[in-house]
Amino acid sequence: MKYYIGKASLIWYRLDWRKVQFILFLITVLLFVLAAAAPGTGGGPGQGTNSLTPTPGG
Amino acid sequence: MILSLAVLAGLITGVVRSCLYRMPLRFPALRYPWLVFVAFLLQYFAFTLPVTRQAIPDPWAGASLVLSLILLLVFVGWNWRQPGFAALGVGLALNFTVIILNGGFMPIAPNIAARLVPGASATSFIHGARFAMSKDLILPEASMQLGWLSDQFLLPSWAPLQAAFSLGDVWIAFGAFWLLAYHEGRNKKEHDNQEHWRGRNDILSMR
Repeated sequence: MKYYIGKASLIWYRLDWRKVQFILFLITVLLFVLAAAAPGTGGGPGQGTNSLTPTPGG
Repeated sequence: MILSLAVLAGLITGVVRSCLYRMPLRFPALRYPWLVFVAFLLQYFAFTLPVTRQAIPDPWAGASLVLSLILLLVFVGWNWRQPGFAALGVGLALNFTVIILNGGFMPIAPNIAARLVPGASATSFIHGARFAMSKDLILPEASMQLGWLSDQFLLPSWAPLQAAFSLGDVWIAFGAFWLLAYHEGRNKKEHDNQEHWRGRNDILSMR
């Protein structure tokens, strides 16, 4: 157990926080763009087509 | 696709500019980024995760979209001075306006939707139904409020993925590009000032 705590604290100590900040910044921008924009894609395969009228006999 | 291209192009331009100006690649610290995560999660459950999106009724899905856009507007308000956020704010406000005026969803005309579904025609769609469980709602142009802000632009036919996008989406793509490409903002001015004074000090020390 102590080994893993020691290992985790070493990783934490050696972590390059500028890289972490950069990755978090990129994730924030990506999520913002995904949430703010509303492009229509048709859903792609497996997304369902609830807006299509049922075809006769189908 | 237009959005992912804008993010990728902005990132590449930002890296190239930082190399050209010999500046560290340092992006601005954004305030309250957790707002974006909460806004994204709201939409993820309402429109993406299959289990939840089937279970959530349309009015609640529309309310989730509106609430998440409000959170994003607050986020933009807190970070207004950062590069690119003016354009992101304009795009978000345009999308928010058209969504709120059309029942909580982004309207899309049947003839535009037909271009995105292989084999479908404009008459194949039920008016007033959600388009493939997405943020879009099928509405004829005559029934739309502010139809010019709807998903009305299409990618060229040779594009590998087809998508319809709105004027707000174009602004958001531009803002994301600007934020990533010209991220240094004030930092560059500070950097230039430092370089200027360093140069002057070097000259003075030579004397």
